[in-house]
Order: sequence, then C-alpha cells, then structure tokens
Amino acid sequence: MPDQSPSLKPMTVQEALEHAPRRTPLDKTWMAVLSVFFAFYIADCLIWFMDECPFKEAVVPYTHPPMIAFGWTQYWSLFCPEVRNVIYHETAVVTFQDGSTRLYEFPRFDLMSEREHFKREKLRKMFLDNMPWPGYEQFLPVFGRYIARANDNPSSRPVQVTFVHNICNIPEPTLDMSKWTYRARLPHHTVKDVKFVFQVRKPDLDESPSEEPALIP
Amino acid sequence: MSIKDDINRLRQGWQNFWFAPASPVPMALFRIGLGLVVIQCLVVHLLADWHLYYGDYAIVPIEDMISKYWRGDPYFDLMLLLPPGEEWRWYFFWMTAVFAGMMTIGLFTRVSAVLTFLCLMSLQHHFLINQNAGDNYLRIATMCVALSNAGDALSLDSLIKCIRQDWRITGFLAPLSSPWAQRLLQVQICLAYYHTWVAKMAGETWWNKGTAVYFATRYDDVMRFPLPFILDNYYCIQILTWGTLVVEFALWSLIWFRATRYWVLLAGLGLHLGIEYCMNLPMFEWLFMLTYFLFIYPEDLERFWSGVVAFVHKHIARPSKLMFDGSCIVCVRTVGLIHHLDIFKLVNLIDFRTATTSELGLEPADRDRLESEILLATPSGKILGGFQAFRYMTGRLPLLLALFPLLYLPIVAQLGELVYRTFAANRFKILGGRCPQGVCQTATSS
Repeated sequence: MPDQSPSLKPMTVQEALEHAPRRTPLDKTWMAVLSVFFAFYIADCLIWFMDECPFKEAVVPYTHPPMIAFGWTQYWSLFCPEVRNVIYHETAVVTFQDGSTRLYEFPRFDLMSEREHFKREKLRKMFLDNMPWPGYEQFLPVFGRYIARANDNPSSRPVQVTFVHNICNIPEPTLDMSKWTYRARLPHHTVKDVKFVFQVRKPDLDESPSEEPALIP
Repeated sequence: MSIKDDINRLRQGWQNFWFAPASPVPMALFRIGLGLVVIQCLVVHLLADWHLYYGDYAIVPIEDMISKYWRGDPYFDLMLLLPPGEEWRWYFFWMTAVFAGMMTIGLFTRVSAVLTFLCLMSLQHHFLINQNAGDNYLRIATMCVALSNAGDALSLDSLIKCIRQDWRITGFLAPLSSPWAQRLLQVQICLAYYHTWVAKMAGETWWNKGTAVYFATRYDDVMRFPLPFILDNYYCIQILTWGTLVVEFALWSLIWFRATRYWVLLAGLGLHLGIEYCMNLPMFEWLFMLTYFLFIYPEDLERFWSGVVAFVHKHIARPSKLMFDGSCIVCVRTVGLIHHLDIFKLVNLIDFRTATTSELGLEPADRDRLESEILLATPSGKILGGFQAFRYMTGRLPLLLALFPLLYLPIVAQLGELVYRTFAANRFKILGGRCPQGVCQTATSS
C-alpha cells in the first residue's frame, strides 16, 4: 500500500499536483534475497552466453534448469558470428506405392505478399529457420509423417518423403557496381540438396483420419 | 579511502540502482506497449496457423515435443493439465489473449500480468519450434512486468484506486516504489546487446570485411522494402556493418551514462527502424524499441509531456476551470478521477471553499450554484453546471471521448441531468462526509 503523508493535513490542489506518495520500502531481508536473485540471473545468462568450454560444461547442468523452468532461456546471436551467405527454400517429394510422386512446396516467403508474410512469420521460423538446420533434425521424421498423412491416398499410399533443400549462394559484394547484386535481382535457388529421406511405415499412416487438415490451411 | 569504504560505497550504489524509489510511469508505458505486442503475437501470428501448432493434428504433437526437445528438462506448460481435446487449448489460447488485454489496460495488473506470463510460457513451451528471439524477449519482459508495479500508473487499477482515495492526502502523482523489475529488464536488454555484440565481433563478415549487412539484406525470406539506392554500394554497406557494431556496443555500455544515454537510444532507434524497414521480422524490433522507454529519466518524460500539454493548450484547446466543493468527499473523488483522465491537463481544479473571489471569477448567482453542483468555466467564459459540465469535459478528455456524442442524445441528456441533480442534492445523505474544516471523516478514514 502507498505510504500516506506523515501529516494528515490536507493538501491544496497545487500541492497535490506535485506530490507522489511512496510505497513502503522493502525491508533488508527482501533486498538481500532479491540481490542474490539479480546476481544469479546475470551470472546465469552470462554463463549461458559463453562459448563452449570445460567451465561452461561443468556449470550449465546446474544453471540451465532454472533458466528453462522460469522462462529465461534466450539466444541473441542473431546473424552471428557469421551471417549466412545463402538463400533457399524447402520442398518435399512424396513418393507413392505406384511409383508416382508429388512435390510439396513449403511456404515460399520470397513469393508471399508483405501482409501474408507478416502474418505467417511463425511458419517461416519453423520451416525455414529451424527445420533444415542442425539442432532440429530430430523433427524431420515428425514433419515427414505429417506430410505423408496429409498426402495419404488409399489407392496408392505414400511410401517415402524426401526433404530437399533448394539453395543458392549470394554472390560476394564487389567494388565494381556493374557486378553488384541488387536485392531485386537475386539468383534463383537452383541447387538441390537432399536433406533427409523419410521411409513411411504403416503405423505412420494408420492414425491418420480422413478429415485431417492439409499442411497449410 | 579504505577497502571497507569502497565496499560500502559499492553496496550503496547497488541498493540505489535496484531499490531507490522511482516513478512507475516508464514501466507503465512499457506495459501498454508490451501488452499490445503480446496480443499481436497471439491474434496475428499464432492464430493464423493455430491448428498446425495446437490442434489435435498438430504438425508436432506434444508427445514428440517432449521426447525430442524437452528431453527431461523442466519446461513449464499449463496446457498439459488441460483435458484432452483441442477445444480446451482453444479456450486457453483466448484466455491468454484476455489476460494480455487486461494487462494492457491495467486491470488487476499484477494478477493479469502473472497469468499472461504463465500462459504465454505454456503456449511457447507447448510448441517450441516456431519461436524466435522476439518470443524469448516477450516472455522475459512479461515476467518483469508481472514482478513490477507497472499497474501504479496509466492503468484502470490506478483509476479505480483514485476513486477510493482522497488526493488531498495521497497527492495526484503515481506512488514511488522500488524499480527493481524495471532495472532487471534494463539489465536484460543490455545482456542481449552484449551477447550479440560479442558474437558478431568473432565473425569475419562483421569485423574484418564489413560485408555482413550486404548478406543480411539479401535474405529473400525476410525481405521487406527496397534498400535506398544511395545505401546500396560497397562502402555504405561497410559503414552500416561497422556502424551496427558501434551502436550495439554503445547499447550495453554507454547507455548507462546520463551524458550519452539519449544519443545511444537515438542510435538504437535508427538501428532497429532500419532493420524494421529492410526485414520482415515481426515483434522483435518493436519490443527492443519499447524497452527504451525504461531508460528515459522520469523527469525528462514529465518535461516532454509538459511540452506536449503546452502545445495542446496553445494550438488545440485552452483549459477550463472546474470549481468543486472541497468539503464534499464525493466531489473530491470525482474531480480526482477527472484529473486522472485529463491527460492533456485541460481542466484546472479549483476548490471553491478555499479559493478567492477573483480566482473563481463568478457572478454571485453562480457562486450560490456551487453549493449544489460542480461548475465549469469554459475558456470562452461560459459557465456550465452539473451534467452539462460533465458532458463538456467528455469532449476534452480523450479517454472519455467515446461518450461525448452519446451524451447529446435527447433522452440520455435529460436522464443524465435528472440523475446528476438528484445525486448532487442528496450527496451528503447518501455518502456522508461533510466536514467544514477541510478534511472529511470519510476522507481521513479512507
């Protein structure tokens, strides 16, 4: 509760306009507890930011769980230490029992309208920033299963989903402006790189009800 | 100077930094901005593909999320407690939006901010692989708002409180309190800038070649508006790259010094607005820019607002005089509420019991009216009483502006007049509290 003024003498309008009450100050025990918390928080973050080293390996098992539990997990190494020098999009080739194939193209943010892109940023994060890169490869079978189910056809069921990374290098910048690559004239993603092949098993499709929604609404 | 003195000085500095009482206004401003971004995150970004993330046929079911990502780590997720069925997750999602809305307007601020934090953390942990750095910051910032006194200003809570208390005892300004949660968020953003700066310094394209901005602005998956022609050449790209390093360095170091703080914030604004212009990365840039509010000294914020108010008074609307009965607690509380709603200070308050005749500037007949109703003297000299005065003020108080046209409807106007007169005539019988000495019994006991 805010502290009241020491005297109960009423203030005039002018005095009230300039007066701010004070909340009861924290007692010393609270200050000490909070100070320990601040010190721990800062140390916890700084340890987390460190490059891999024996000290970090030894300490992180103790400092990281509270970070996860209280929601302080954080990564700020965006565009670093090196910016990527490639542009890309993702596709998946679904192969059916009868040998036919179907190409599934993950959302193309390079072709989307500004508004749609803004709205669906989380899809970009999932399919472009995370799915094709190390650290998220454990999810590829899960994505493969989803795509297989979404493309299931009782007459010829999917047997394989092949994830393809369509990529190209951004040309190096030059001092010669005639060879300069402007943003509007970027090369196409012409290099194909197979990232993962998911073999569809029967149980992967069995749980799939017919009313399952398509991958992209 | 002994080591003991140094330690004492350090301890004193630490305590002053975290706990010296400060105005809650910067944190309240941040709370409003943060609440709007949380709502944007939910209603724009997550809702667009909600079924893909949280539906019964989510692309990554929670069992897979637990086995492939959580891996035994203590992730907090209230959604695990929900009964099966996506409809429950749907309700949970909308409850989070409601809590975020309540936090934004400052209704039960502490509780709503805590609930927003817990629900947001649950939604994020339930489906982790669409999260970006903006989501991390959103969660941490919501935690800090939940721990702060951000509801003490610019909130419905503070309006409700001002109806209950007597400003002649408490004053009009928001209560000062330990700003430790605000400081934690200030430290947090500096940690973020520190981390990104250190990581960039290790990169060849950042430090040695100075070409990082060239590549970053060519990512076709996040591209927004075209780079201005003048900046699209090798030397400008290098200046922008190294400039980014300089600004990010300043944003965790020089920002702490009063002399450099506002220059650093200005440079930071330039950096984030530049990224916002070139790249489609929702939330992140705005969250960081919003945090800059926390670095503005409250007295400067006040000075800035006084400038806005002076501009409004000079060019848009001149202030009116509201004369009220200072011995009536109902009137005191009512004008207290009006003052809190009056963000442009368009209503000057005058207690007719203590004011001189020249201050009031009223005819004797009007002076008698003050015993039964509040009077408002408009800038043009017109005297309005009771309901008419209230109606006039709704047109000048931005937060009540929506009421203004409604109060001109024939039946509403007559009804309002009747209610006002009946209440004003019986205010002492209804609520008591008359006290000619200046402070009412009701006032002191409140």
